[in-house]
Amino acid sequence: MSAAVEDWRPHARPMTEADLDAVTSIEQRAYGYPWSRGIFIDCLRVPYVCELLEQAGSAVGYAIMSISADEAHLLNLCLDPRLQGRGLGARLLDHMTELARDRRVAVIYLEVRPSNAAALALYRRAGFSRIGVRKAYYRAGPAREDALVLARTL
Amino acid sequence: MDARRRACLEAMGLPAWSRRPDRILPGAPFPAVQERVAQQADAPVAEENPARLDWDALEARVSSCTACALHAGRTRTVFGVGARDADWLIVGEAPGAEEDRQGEPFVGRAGKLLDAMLAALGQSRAQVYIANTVKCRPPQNRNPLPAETDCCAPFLDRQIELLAPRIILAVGAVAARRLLATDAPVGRLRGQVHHYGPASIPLVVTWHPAYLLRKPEAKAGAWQDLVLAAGAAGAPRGSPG
Repeated sequence: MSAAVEDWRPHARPMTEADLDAVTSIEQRAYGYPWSRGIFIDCLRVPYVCELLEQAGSAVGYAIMSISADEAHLLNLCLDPRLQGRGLGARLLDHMTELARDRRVAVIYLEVRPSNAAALALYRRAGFSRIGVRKAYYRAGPAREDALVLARTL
Repeated sequence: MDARRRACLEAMGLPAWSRRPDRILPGAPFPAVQERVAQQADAPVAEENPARLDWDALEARVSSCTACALHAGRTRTVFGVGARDADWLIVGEAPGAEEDRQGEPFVGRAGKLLDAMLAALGQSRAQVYIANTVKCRPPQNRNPLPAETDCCAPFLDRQIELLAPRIILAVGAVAARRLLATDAPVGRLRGQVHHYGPASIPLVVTWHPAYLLRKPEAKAGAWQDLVLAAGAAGAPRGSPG
């Protein structure tokens, strides 16, 4: 019985190549300019910290972070668009922050589109603050969009 | 006894005894029930159409309903529970023994599982609305008969109208059959978005939690149904972006 209930709670585990179908499916539905499957394979090979968020045995989101010395860079954090707005992003970000802390990271950086209000709200609530702008960093149709650079010290 | 005292007693594992509303015990053999209904059949009934009642009047009307034989075997009616402005409506089958005793739908093991499934969507029991297809406990926990779900239909229809949910989740065959007017099994109805009523409210069918307890391997499919329903409902109110 408790196992039946437990399964429905979100839990994070390391991503494997077997998860890439589910991951790329979410990536394509979540972003206008999704990463290719090849990029995810490279991330697993480096290896970056690649984590999968699961519920009831299915992938609901994932995050990828590179760590060097005492700095971490959150490269991707993504939830199934159908499940956004339910606290899963905060859950996954907490998990990545804990992994960074375990590895004695002092500061986490990330870039985000200024148009991504949900992501900005998530990062602000988690204690990230804006430290800079990368001009015309992202593709956005015929034009380009800036990236906001956020950071959080641990 | 108020709800808080009852909850305290329940937490201590003490059954709360109360006087039964009539002499026929819950779960009484059907002939006895039918005999009683026959005696009452010619009682004058002047009742307003449920389609015009507000929440409280509807609840009162359900609690005094004698439209079908099930009323004689109930301890109390199980009207429904949750937020009356909820985005999500969960429709189950009929009250079981525990539900009949407590007056709340989904209170046993299946209820715990339903709570876990809702929590997986970031929803609590207080945020959604949970109702049954039939408001009175059928004897021996059998499925409600078509005639009984028909008798109860105006109540559930009015609840849906008052609630105007963004998504209806029909759990199990009884709810699916009633809301979609079909005999197709759950296995064929799940995995797609149907629509209910004149307002064409999105409706997703999935396995009943009691079935998931017996067949855990169906869980992955049930979760896919919940995600499908979440997509059909749209972003929850008050979410960022």
